[in-house]
Formats: sequence, C-alpha cells, structure tokens
Amino acid sequence: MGIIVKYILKNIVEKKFRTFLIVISVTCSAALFFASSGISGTLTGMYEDQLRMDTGKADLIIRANERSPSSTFRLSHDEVQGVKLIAGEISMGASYRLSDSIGRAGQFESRQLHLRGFHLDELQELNPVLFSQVGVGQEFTGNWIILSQIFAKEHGYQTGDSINIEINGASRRFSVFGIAYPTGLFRDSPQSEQRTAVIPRETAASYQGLHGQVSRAYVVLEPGAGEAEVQQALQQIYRRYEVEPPFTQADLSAMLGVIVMPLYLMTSMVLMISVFIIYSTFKVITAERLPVIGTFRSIGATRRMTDWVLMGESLAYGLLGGVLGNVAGIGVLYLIASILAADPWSGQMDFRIEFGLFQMAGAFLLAVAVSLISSWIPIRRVSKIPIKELVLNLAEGSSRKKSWKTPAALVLGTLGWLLPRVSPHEWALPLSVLGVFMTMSAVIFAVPLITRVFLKLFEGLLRLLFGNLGLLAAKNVKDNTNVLNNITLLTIGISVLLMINTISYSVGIEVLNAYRDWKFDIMVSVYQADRSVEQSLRAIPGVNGTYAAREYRTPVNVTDPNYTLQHLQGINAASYEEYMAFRPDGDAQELLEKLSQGRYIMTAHMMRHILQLEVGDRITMDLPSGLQTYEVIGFYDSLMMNGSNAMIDERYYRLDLQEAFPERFYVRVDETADPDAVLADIRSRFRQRGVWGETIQHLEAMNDEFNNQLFTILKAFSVLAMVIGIFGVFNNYIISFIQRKRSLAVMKSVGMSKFQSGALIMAEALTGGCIAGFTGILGGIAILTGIPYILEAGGIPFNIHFAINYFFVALAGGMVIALTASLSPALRGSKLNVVDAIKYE
Amino acid sequence: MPAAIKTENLCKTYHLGKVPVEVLKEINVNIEQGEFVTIMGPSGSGKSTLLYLMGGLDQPTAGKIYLGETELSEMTDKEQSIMRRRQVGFVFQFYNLVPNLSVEDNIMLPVLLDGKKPRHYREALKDIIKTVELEDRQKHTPRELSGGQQQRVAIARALINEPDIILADEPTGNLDSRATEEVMQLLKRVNQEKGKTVVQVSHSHETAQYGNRIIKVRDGKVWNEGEDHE
Repeated sequence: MGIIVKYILKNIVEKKFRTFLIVISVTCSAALFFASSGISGTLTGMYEDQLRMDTGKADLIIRANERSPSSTFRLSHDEVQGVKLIAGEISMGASYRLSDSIGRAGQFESRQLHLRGFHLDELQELNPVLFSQVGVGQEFTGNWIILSQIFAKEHGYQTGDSINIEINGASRRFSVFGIAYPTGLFRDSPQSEQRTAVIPRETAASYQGLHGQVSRAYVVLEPGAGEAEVQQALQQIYRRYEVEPPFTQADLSAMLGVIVMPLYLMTSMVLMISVFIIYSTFKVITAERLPVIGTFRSIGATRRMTDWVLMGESLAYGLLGGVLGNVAGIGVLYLIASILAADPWSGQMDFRIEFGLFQMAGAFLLAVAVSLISSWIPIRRVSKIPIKELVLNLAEGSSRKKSWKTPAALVLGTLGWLLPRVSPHEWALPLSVLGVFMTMSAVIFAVPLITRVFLKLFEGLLRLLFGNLGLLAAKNVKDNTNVLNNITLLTIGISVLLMINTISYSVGIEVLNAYRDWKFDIMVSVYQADRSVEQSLRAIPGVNGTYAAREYRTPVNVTDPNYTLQHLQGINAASYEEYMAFRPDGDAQELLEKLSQGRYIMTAHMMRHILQLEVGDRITMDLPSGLQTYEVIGFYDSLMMNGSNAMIDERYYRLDLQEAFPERFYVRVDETADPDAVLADIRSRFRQRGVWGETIQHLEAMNDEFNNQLFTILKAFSVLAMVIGIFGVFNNYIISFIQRKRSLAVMKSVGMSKFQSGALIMAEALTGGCIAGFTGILGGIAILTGIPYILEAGGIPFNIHFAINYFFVALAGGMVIALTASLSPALRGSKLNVVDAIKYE
Repeated sequence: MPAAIKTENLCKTYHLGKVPVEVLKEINVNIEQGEFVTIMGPSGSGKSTLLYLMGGLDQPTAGKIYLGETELSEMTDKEQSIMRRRQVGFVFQFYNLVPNLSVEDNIMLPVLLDGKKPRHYREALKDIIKTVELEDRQKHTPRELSGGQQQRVAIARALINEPDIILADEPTGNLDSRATEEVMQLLKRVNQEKGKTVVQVSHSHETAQYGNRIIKVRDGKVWNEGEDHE
C-alpha cells in the first residue's frame, strides 16, 4: 500500500504543470460551487441587514396605501396581545442651506434632509441610535435634533450647537441633542444628497399640523407571539391601512433569484470545462502509464489494483482541489458579496459572508466527484486492455475514431433545439436548461465533423497562405486528438464568454430600449394628486407637458383564467402615445380608440403567451369594485414588470379600481430646461405632499449600475472558465508536441527545415484557433438561442441582441490564444534533436 | 568523379551527464557513387551515429563530411534540409512514418516539404507505389499496414525525390525473415537498377550479403576501410 501511495505522489510531483492544471480546474469548480451555494445565505443576511437598517426590530409596519383615507393615522390605544412596542413616526422633507463653497457648481444651494420624528425611548427600543456625542440630562422634546456623524462632520456641528433648518418654507432653529454614528436610521447612501436627522415626534407633527398622528408605525412583537395573529388583530384596528411585515421571504427570494440562478449556470459551465480537462488529461496519463501498468500486471497486480493506482491519483487531485476549493470559495464569496454590497439603490451595505458545513462539504464532495468521475472512463478503458498488449506495448491508447460523435451531435442538437420550444409550461424551466446543455454538448460532439468540413472548405486558402505546409497542417488538425481537444476547450470557453457578453450587451440594449420607451424626463408621485396638482406641475417653469399615469401596482388577481397580473394601467387614449412608446399588433390608433369604448383590455405578449390568449377572449379580474370581465382586443410589445402588464381605458380604471387619483405623473421638460433643476423645483413645491420624483436619466443610470455589478461577477466567472480553458489549451499543445516529437523528427529527417517546423506548428494553431473561434461562436449562439426560453420559463421575457463585433473578437481570440499557446512548442520543435527523437523516444 | 560520401577525421563525442563519451574517433571513409555499403559492428560501436552524421541529422564534434563536393558543416540549416529532401533518402529501423498520414501522403512528404506541386508527382508516385508493391494500400494509414509494408513505404518515401543516396539504419531490424527478404531485394534493385548509392547499418551478415562492401566499426573506429566484401 505504501509503495502505491509513494508511486502516486511521485507522479503528482513529477508532472507539475499537469498537476497544476487538474488541481486548478477542480479548485475553480469547487470554489464557484461553494460561492454559488453560499451566496444565497450571504445575500439574504446582507439584504436583511440592509432592510433592518431602516425598520430596526419591527416585525410589522402599519402605513397608508392607495385606498387609505389619509396618508397619516392616529395610533389606537387598544391593547393587542403579543405586541411589545408600537413606535410611531412622522417623517418630512427639510433642507439645510449650504454655504456657497459647498454647493456643487452652484447647482445645490441647500442639502436635503430627511427629518424623522420619533419618541427617542421608542426609537432606542426599535432601532437603537448609537451616539458618538450626546448631551446629558436633557429630555428629547421640543426643538432638539439628532444629526448623523457624517452630516455633523461635513458642516462642523457639535452637541449643543444651534442649527437652522428650513421646513415648509420657514426657517426653524434646532439644538443638536446628539451626534449619531452612521448606523441604523442614520446609514445614508453615500450617493444620496439627502441626510437623515431625527427630531421629537410631536415637534414633527406640529410642523405638519398633524397633532397626535403618525405616518408610519413600527410594531415589535413579544417573543413567541404569532405574527399572523397580531397582523390580523392590527388589521382589524387599522382597517383601511396596510399592516405588513417589512419584507417577506418571497421578496428576498425574488431579489436573490436574479443573482443566484446565473451563478449556478456559470458554475455548471466551468464544471463542464473542468470535466473535459480532467478527462482529456487522464487519457494522456493512462496512455503514458501503459508500460508501468503492464509491468504491475505482469508481476501479479489485478485489474482492480491497477485501477486503484490511477483512481488514487485522481482522488488525490480531488482531495487537494476540494481543500483549495473551499479556501478559494471563501475568497470568491467574499469578492461577490463585496461587489454586490455596493448597491446603487440603497448605498454601501455592510456584509459578512455566511457559509456552513453544507457549503464546505458540498464543495469538497463536488471536487472529489468531478475528479473521480472525469477520470473514470479513461481508467476503465485502460483496465480493459489485455495484459499481453500492455506488456508488448501493442495497446494503442485511444486513437480509435469516434464514429458515434456525429450522430450523437445530430440527435442532441435536434433534441436540444426542440425541448425548450415544445415543452409544456410547467416543465419549461428544467427542460429548457436541459435543452441548452444538450445543444452545447451537440456542438462539442460536432467539433470533429465541423473541423473536417471547415478544412475541406478552406484547404485551398490554407495552401495559398502556407503552401504545402498548409496541406500538412490541415491533415494534422483533422486527425490529431490533442488539436481537436484544444478546439473543444476553446469552443466551451469562447461560447461561455460570448454568452455572458452577449447577455450583458442585450440587457444593456433592453434597458436602453425600456428607457427610450419613456418619452418624458421626470417621473413624479404626489400623495392624493388631484387635478390641482397636475395643473401646478404644468405651471412650473421648464415643464412642457404632463401625463397622469394610472398604474395599479398591487398585483391583480385574475380569476378566469387564473393568473396574477403585476401591472394594470388605465390609459388616456388621446395622449398615451405622446408619453410612452406603444407597439401593438395592429393599428395603434384604432386599438386605442376601441379600448376607450368599453371594458376592453390589451395585454403584453408575455401575458398572452402564458394565458394562451386570443383576441375576443374574456378576462375576469377581482377588482376593488368586484369581479369585472374585460374583452381582449389586442396585444402589444412590452417587458414592463417582466411582461405581466395589461391596459384598460382610464375611465373604466377609475370606475373598477375605485382610484380617484393618478399614481404618478410623467413630466416632459422643455428642450432647454435641465430635468434635474425642474425636479428640484417640483420637490421643493410639493415637499409638504409626500412628493417623490426621479429623472429618467438617474433611474437609468442606477439600473445600469446594478446590472453592471451583476455582470461584473458573471463576466469574472466566464473569464475564469476561459482561463482554465486556456491553461488546458497550453497543456494540450505541450502534450501534443511531446507526442508528435517523433513525427516532427521524421519530417526533419526527410527535409523539413527549422523554419518549416515552426511554421507548421503555427499554421496548425492558427487553423485550430480559427475553427475553435467558429465553433465557439456556434456554441455561443446555440446557448443564447435557448436562454430566452429559460428566462421566459422563469417569467422574465428577454430578447437576445447579437453584437457582430463580438463574433469577430471570438474568432480573433481563438486564433490569438492558439497561436500564443503554440509558441513554445514551435520553438521547441525548431530546436528538436532529430536523432534523440527518432532513436530514443 | 568525387566520392558519393567521404568523411575526414570524423569525431563525435556525447555527454552522459558530465561524462564525455567518445562515440566516433577520427573516422575516414570513402563511399563511391553506386555502391551498396553495409556498416557493421557491435551495439554501441557508433555505426548508427556515423550514418546519421552522413545524412546531416547530427553534427560532428570534429572532422568533415562531404556529400559529393559539398562539405556538410558549411551548409546552413535550410541548405541541409534541402539536401535531405533532394540528395539523401532515409530509411529507419522502426519505419518512422507519420501515423496520421496515408501511405500516399507519407511518400509525398519530401515533395510537399520541398514546396513542389503534388500533381506534378502523380506519375512518379504511381510508379514508386508499384515498385514497392503497395498499389492496394495507398489510402491506408501506417497502423493499418504490416511491418514489412511500412518499411516499403519508408523506402518509397526515401526514393520519391530521386535522391542519389539512400541511408538505411537497420532497415530489417524489426522485420521477420520474409519481410527482410522483400525489403533487401528492393534496396538491391534500387541500387542496381536506379544506380543509387545505398548505405545501410546492420547487425546481420545475411543482409550484408545484398551489398558489395562492408565497413566494420568497433569502439568508434573503422578497422577494415577499403576491404571489399566480394
């Protein structure tokens, strides 16, 4: 046993690059698996912490919604069992006048402040304020204010100082009660111009004229109290208000799904490359070990024993990769979490990576399994060779032609193409994923066939470029297993890179298109915005026009057919197209006109696809006015709310949804006006009416930033896949050179010069690289045509936009990698000692 | 007329680790055009090394080698390569065919490397395949051939460019007696009918019978230069 272990270790140590290649492949697979399986827990913790920053220990939040009679309410004195604390809040906008030197190029004269009114004792129980400075012996009533440390440092305030703040157009003087560390409520986004400050609740209420009222109430439950029961009891008291948990697991899952699913997809791609590298490397290892295996067998070792020698080596790689994979996985997880922690929407989040025994054991077992399973086939193949052939060195390794590959490629390709397209809706996701993998496998199996066809087509060109060496190169590319392995490795790598970059590009285009669909500059919402609000908006200098958007963002229960509609709009047929791009199937004006004539509905294509709707079908929705049936009159192209959107006429919207006020306004500004300045004006004018607003440019920039973060990670994964692939390619070129030393020496013996030797290897590399680029593009397209089906099955409609320049980059990349990898063999080939190679190889 | 191959004080020293091993010591041989010479000697005597030096596959430590009037050490790598394509044909003990090329392609290798158009060699290829009696095997790869057939391909490859000299390193060392007979007859025919100079390395007195002179090498020295076999 000892001698076998010694033999295995010696083999591992002797072939350093090969060991490095296998271990790095296994390590990367294990590390990415570790990170993918650990990211969910880490992000859950991170997002929960982030959400808790604002809501503290609150288990439930009571607030007004669209159907509430007012945006504020009185706290009830009724006792509710299970409630430990109800902390009321009144919040409002305010501003702090900046000195000229601080204002950015004169754009901002004041800094926005978010004033939050609390009872300090309640706040300390709900979401403790950590003071860096605090006055002693004072009660937190009257005109005290707690500032954030960041704000205090920026503007030089200490405890006890006076500060003037503009509230509702009037200047109010406060005294600084304390300075709070930037945690909890005071954790403002660094990107945000707004800073949070806390004042006594009564003081806030008096400025708003809302004595005894709150705009929100945070409910903390007694330990062990049932959330659902308390929620129900509170809902009875606050009947027309919303009583909901701050966030639900479903909300978190939806946020995580966007990140976790692509990570698993990338991990499986890296896994695919690793399996291929280990498989092809073990083919070489077993071929090299044939004489030793023959010797072992000839002195009495059984097949099982020799199998175990090779499996032992594979196991050693797996164990080493498993340990390193866990270590690297922690690093990768940390890196991903740190990238995602810089959230453009909510600022820099605190994060701690979370993983457990499950992730560690899972990654470790995966590493061992990948190594063992990938090496099993080559080892079994050697095991079947008769002892006589081994001893007499008659075994030819695995040089048989794989005649099954082309039919397998055809079958897999056809099935892979069909599966996503014909699978029933409930099976669409797994079958679409399977289909994509089948198509990719088909491309890999088709590599020898594609190579043959390619060489047949371009033989003339090769000959033109390299003369007779081109002919020899073509023959070698066609028949050399290592060159074909290189093409396969590059194919997978290029496909994955192409896929990620094309998806990233497509997302960019889709986002751009989505924002281009909005033909306005600012989106504004004002609480209970009646006609006067719209008129006031139109009167603001720079405002060119407004559209009152009626959008029901609470999911609508469609009872027949059964469906949850995420976004229902009530549109004004006369002006809708001025503010939103509208791409219906058919004449837009005609359809909009018909829509306004009754209870008619139009749905987005995605909704049509899911419900299998046709014009003339009827949809029954459970609306605030009761069950209402609408007739489908058409469909349109829209990815809003992932395609779960529909439109009815605003008249019926108001009637059936009992919504008196529009949800928001689309504001168009004059060509010469600055949307930011107009928005600042709007905020200032409506600050007492719970105004919210953003410029479209800003929304687009934040969306872009979020997408970029996600794609940075995915691109890093795909680059990693490519890097492993490149290592594999370098290894294969060296193996190929070692195996072909004799052939090269023979060619030299019949007159091949040093230059010709180098040129031949380079010509082969260039041809192989070119084919790999081509098959990589083919593989990329194969995956990418399946991706929309996977996403559609997950409820995300998505169009792939191919960028032709990526194809050229892929082609050039394949050639550059192959050429670079062949430099060393070409150099070694030109210096080859013919006699040594012929006599002693 | 100059000798086909001539060596002057040819020496070759290898290094086994740090230990120098003198394989050839001041060898002087003269091989005339049209001769069929067998270099014989015990294992490790330096006979194969001498052959490889004659063909320019290895570089001497000292001394000179002339092919006709050209001295090999004065030639560049390119010139030596061209010489091996056009003036010399090699045949090895283990055939040394390129495994992924067909019989035809293996035979045409020197032509392809010489940058000549393969279509100009169609007739020559046909003739040579007929000469080595492999008409029904031309599309096969080496692994589909017997040892004797592979060696005949190697001989055909050595002949395709019509070189003046054939250098064969134990051409029958790996063959059975029937294949040995076939290959030696072929080399003899090449020598006698085509007038090629043939130099073979061999252990076997039997195969040496096919030639007309034996050069015996022992401990890196020739000890019977000039002695005719017949």
